[in-house]
Amino acid sequence: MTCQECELALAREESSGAVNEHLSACAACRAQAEEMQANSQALRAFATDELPSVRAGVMAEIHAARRMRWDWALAAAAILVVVFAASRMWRIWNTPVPELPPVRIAVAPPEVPIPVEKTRPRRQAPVQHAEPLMVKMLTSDPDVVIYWLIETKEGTE
Amino acid sequence: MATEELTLAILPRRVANEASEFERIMAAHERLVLGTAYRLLGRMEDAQDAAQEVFLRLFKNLGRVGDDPKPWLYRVTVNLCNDYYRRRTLVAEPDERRADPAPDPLSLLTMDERKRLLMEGLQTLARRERAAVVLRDVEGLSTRQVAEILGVEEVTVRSQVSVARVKLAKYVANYRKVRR
Repeated sequence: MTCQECELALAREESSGAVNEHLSACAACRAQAEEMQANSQALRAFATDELPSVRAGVMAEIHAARRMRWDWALAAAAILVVVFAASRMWRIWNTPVPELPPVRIAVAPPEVPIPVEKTRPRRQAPVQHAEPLMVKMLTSDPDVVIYWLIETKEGTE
Repeated sequence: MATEELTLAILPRRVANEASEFERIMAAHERLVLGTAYRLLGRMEDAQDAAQEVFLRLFKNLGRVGDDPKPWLYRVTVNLCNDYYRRRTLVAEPDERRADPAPDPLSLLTMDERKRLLMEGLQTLARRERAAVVLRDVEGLSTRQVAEILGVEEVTVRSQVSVARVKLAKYVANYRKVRR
């Protein structure tokens, strides 16, 4: 086995009698085998290295993207409302006013006396004629007596 | 009423449930996504950006992701990191982890030092090799799972992983030689 073949076998982690035989006789390949072995351990040890976290950065990016999406959605909604309102206004302004049919003046019908229903006169309570009020006035002369008759007029009390 | 309060107040129950389901999935798989992105990109800032993007896509596609979101998350992470890698014009700047003081050249490589070298070495690999070795050796997935995620044959994955392992071993060995 040549050194090159041994190197390839070591790289493929192949272990055979031929490889072991070569290694026992070749110091250079033995050193390389040790190097590869140590490298393999060091590569595996990378897994225990301390690493910073990227979670906060990722979440910040996601929140920023969401905010932007909402901002765009709100802006789009606002634009839609404005466009809709504008189109409605435009339609209203540009709608032609329909021509009204000519006004026809009808001939007034002859005057017909409207029968007026006579209202019945209010029945008034009968006036009760009161007795005339008589005032008797005595004078100093016993033979002279004055009588004053007071009559109420109709409709007054 | 604030817009946020309004939004929350009129959110349908279905959306609220989806949001809590999403947060649960994100908490459970945050490490998977960020760790994979970091191994693939080599820079934590880029990895965090990529991971955020992966989870935002998950949020948008929550209904289409199956019961087990892992394959989906791996696939999207790898694809996104490939895009990042393609777009990246600047040469990778030194990461905080690379700013460690130089190790004693006479000592053996410590685990941290080896990990730092491997992170550098990963960035020297071809895109497909890097994705394959990260999923296979770092994430511990089987060859079949890696093949499904990357959309290639298992034999291709085996080949890519083998090549990547050899390249990484040489990268570390070269560092040793330079040190001496």
